[in-house]
Parts: sequence; C-alpha cells; structure tokens
Amino acid sequence: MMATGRVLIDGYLQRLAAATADLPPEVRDDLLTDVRTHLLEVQLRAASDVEVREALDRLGAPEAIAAEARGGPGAPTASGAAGAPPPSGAGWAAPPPPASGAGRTAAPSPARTTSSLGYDATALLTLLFGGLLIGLLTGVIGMVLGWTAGVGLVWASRTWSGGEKALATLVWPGGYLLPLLLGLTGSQVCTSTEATDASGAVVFEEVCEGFALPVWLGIPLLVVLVAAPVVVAWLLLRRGDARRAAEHT
Amino acid sequence: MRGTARYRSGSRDPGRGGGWTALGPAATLHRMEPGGDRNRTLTQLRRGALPNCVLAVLANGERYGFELIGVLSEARGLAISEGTIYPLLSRLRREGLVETSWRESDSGPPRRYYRLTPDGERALASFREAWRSYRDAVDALLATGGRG
Repeated sequence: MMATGRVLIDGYLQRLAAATADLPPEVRDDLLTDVRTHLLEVQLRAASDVEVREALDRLGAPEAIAAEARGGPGAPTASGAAGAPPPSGAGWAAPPPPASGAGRTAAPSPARTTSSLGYDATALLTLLFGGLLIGLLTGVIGMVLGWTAGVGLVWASRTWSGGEKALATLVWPGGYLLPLLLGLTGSQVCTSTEATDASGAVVFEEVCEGFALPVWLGIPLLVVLVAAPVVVAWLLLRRGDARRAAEHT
Repeated sequence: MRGTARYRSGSRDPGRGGGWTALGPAATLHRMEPGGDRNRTLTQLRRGALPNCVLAVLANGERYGFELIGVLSEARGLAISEGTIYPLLSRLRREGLVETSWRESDSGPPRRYYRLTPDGERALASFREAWRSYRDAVDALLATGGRG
C-alpha cells in the first residue's frame, strides 16, 4: 500500500536536496533534516498514498522552500543550475542529488538588490555638491573630479535602474556647479554716479556692464536650476526606500 | 512550560486519530500558491506577521515542527505554505528567538522541539503591542475613512 507513498516522499526529498544545493551546508542540512522528519511523521499517519500526496501538496514545491531559505520568494538563485527545476517529466521521481558535498558551493549569501540608504544618500549628495565643494577648495580639476565621483557612486548603487541613473547623471552635468557658473557669467556689474544737472536737481547715472537675463526668465530659470536636482535626488531616495522596504523580510 | 511528559504521552498530538485527515483538504484550499499570489500587499503583510504567529504559538508551550505546522494550518486566514515554516524556524533559531532540542518519541521518529527564548518572549511582546495599535488604526480608517 505504502510503496508508492515511500517513492513520492523520496522523490520530494531528492528534489529539495537538488534545489538547496547552493545553500550554506549547515543551513541546508538543517532544512533537509526538518523536512525529512516532517515526512516521517506524515508517513506514520498517512493511511493511503492520497494522504501522502496531500501532505506533499501542503508542503509546497521544494523550490519554494529553497527560495524561502534563501531569504524569501523572488530571491535570485546563487547558482543557476542548482536552483533550476528538475528535468521536465521527471516529476517527483527526480534524479538523485549529487553525492554528499559534491554539489555544495561555498556559502553564498543571498544577493541583495538594493544598496543602503546611507550609501545612496552619499552618492546623491556627492553628485549634487561634490563638484561645487571640491571645486571651491581645489579649482577646476576638483570640480570635474567631485562630480565624476558622484556619478560613479550613483552608477555603482544597486538600488536604481539604468534609466534612473541616467536621469540623475543628466540633471545638470556638474551638479550645482552649472547654476553657479551661470550665476557668475550672468551677473551684472552696475556703477552709478551722482551728478547735478543744470536746474540743480541731483540725478543718478547708472552704467551697467556684463550680461543679465531678464528677470521674468532669470528667476524661474534659477528656481528650476536649484530645485530640479533636489527633486530628482529626493525621488530617487524615496524609490530606494520603497525597494529596501519591499526587500526587507 | 515544558510539558515534556504531556507530549510524550501523545495526548495532545494533533496528528493522532482523525486530526491529520480532517485537516488536510481544507488546509490545501488555503495554501498560498508559490509566486502566484496576485495580492502583493497581503503577501507582504502575511510574511511580516507569520514569524510572530510562530512565536505566539510557542509562547503557549513547546512544540515539535510537525505539530506546530498543524496548529498554524488550522488558522486558515494565515494562508501558509507549510514547507516554508521550516526555513522560518531556522531563521528564528539563528536570531536566538527560539531554541531547539531533539527528543525521542514513543510513536515515531525523534522530534525537534522548539521553544521560546527570553529574547523571543520580548520580541513577541513588542510585536503584540505594535500590532494592536497598527490593527486598530487600520480598522478605524477602513471603517470610517478618517471621518469617525
């Protein structure tokens, strides 16, 4: 009666062994022992093969258990072969697992898909202010280096997609350096002189040199120049937070 | 809270008699399909609450794995996938919230018993408190939309 049930249980355990081949040995042994013990209890109580099948159904796919052991569903497998489903058609009677020890890789920690908040904030601050601050201290080369460091940090983060990184990079090449430069070149120097005209009234003559944007254009432009990088940085930080929260188990 | 003798006698063993069979098909209906849950929010909520449900069951006395899963499966709304409880227990043990010991059983294979550590009790107490205020706030907002 229980011959088939025995085969089902063995097949299930072999599938679990194969699906967990990439886990650290102590975690894997622990898990296999627990599930094997569970199935012994099942075997003890099951009156028919149907009940064994139902118990295996309730346990869920061995691959899902392995995924949970790696840190939750959706966590990427450290080794493609180890996490792959058994050959199609094999079903419960999957091929035996690799000889003990042979299939084990050295304890990979589950791959994370985000960087820390501290890292991301540092990257964005460097992007925005790195060129400006280092530039003020060391000159033109520092400006370039500071901003380049920010770009490097942003692109090295695991939190954001390529598009988001491109957005961050393109905000204002140079971070706040560009608004500062525009502010300098756009500044006017005005000198006024005081004179007395023929009637005795005092008049001011004002002479301006340099180039200035008209106020109606200059002020909105300034607002955009200052606000856009902050808004983009804020949005990226928020998205990173959401992703970290989603990843947290 | 040890209750060793009680379990050894098998008197509270949920797997005895018709318990196991009665539990089966019903629990299957509520099993979460791996990766197939369309409601991501609920999935996240369950994942967050489940470890604390395990701690709560163990606060009532030690249990072995199979028995613990039986208790959790009876709480239908939890929608657990039974196999994932073992990695969860393993994590709780590594975090020092539960501890285990193997013991012989009269009726079957040796069993690994799980029980709460003092750290586990503290973690459960703080979750209990946080959950209550969170649940009350969500309930109130769901009921009144903030116009209560």
